[in-house]
Amino acid sequence: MRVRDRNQITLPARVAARLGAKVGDTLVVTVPDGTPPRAELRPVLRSYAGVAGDLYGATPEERMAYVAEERASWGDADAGAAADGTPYLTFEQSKRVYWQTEVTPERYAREPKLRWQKCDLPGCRRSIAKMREHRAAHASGLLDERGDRTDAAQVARTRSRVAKWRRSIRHTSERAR
Amino acid sequence: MAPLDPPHERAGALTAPSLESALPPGARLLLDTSALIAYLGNAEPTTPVVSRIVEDLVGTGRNAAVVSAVSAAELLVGPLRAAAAVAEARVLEFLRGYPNMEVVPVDLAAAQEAARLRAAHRFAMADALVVASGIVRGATVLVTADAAWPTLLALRRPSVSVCLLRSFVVRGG
Repeated sequence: MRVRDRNQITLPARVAARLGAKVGDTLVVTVPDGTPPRAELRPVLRSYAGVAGDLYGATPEERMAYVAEERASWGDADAGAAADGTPYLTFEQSKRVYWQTEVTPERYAREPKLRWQKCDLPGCRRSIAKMREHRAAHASGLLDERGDRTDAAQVARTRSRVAKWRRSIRHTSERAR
Repeated sequence: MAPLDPPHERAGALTAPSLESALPPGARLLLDTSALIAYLGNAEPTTPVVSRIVEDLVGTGRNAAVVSAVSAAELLVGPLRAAAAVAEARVLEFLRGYPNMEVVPVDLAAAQEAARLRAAHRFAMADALVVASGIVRGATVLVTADAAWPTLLALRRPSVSVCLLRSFVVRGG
């Protein structure tokens, strides 16, 4: 290859073919340290978006959990587990999962909920200690996608509790007036 | 009567020009693990935003980018754990050869900066190393999908601003 004006060169056809380079592709040239000097030519894809597929998790929540797990591996990752074997969140994981809350070491130690995982389902997102049982309940249909019980008796009990609570609120506010 | 703002403006979502104004030309970007996972992993709502940053801003040379070696290691764990050789090769190829992007090793300067962040602000060591890698290479914007970063960084390192990918997702298509 002859270097022309402004350091231009033409890639020989067989080299281009070997690299799989087509018009519009980008090739990266690197010059590693060492003597004699040499250059390496590497094709790069126009886009690497999605090349790893679901290897970091299938949902945004799983991907954040992936990062949290890697970060937790730097410290004491064993924060204990719930009765069903669900691991509790470490302090670092808790800071990420509960990003809207200012999780301090003191609050993390005091408030058990900050050690609970959040359900992956976007409609549910409840903080649950026994997440394995909770996921199984979702899978079996015992819980709907919002995390509410689906059996009629339980729904009736919940409605009755909510109505009672609303009545008590109304009663308190009327007395305050 | 004044014309109505476009729907995405009224919804409070930011548009492509505002992404470009958040990332001025020449600003060196620190891409963290969560941002690169949004790019390399399955498509999610932030993928178009990070693709635009990587391919249109970094790939074209408008902005240089740095990635900490800590993030590089974190990105390789997934493919290696799944023994996905092709994905591993692609991720490595991206980290090695993507134009205008540099993987920053943890050298003494980065270690010193990380120690400073950890001592003064109690950053977790991994977080400190990631941010320190950017600071020693002159990065002024941290690009991340991790919503914890704006709070973690705002008061402690005002010299580094945070570009939270989610803020640039145009809602409602």
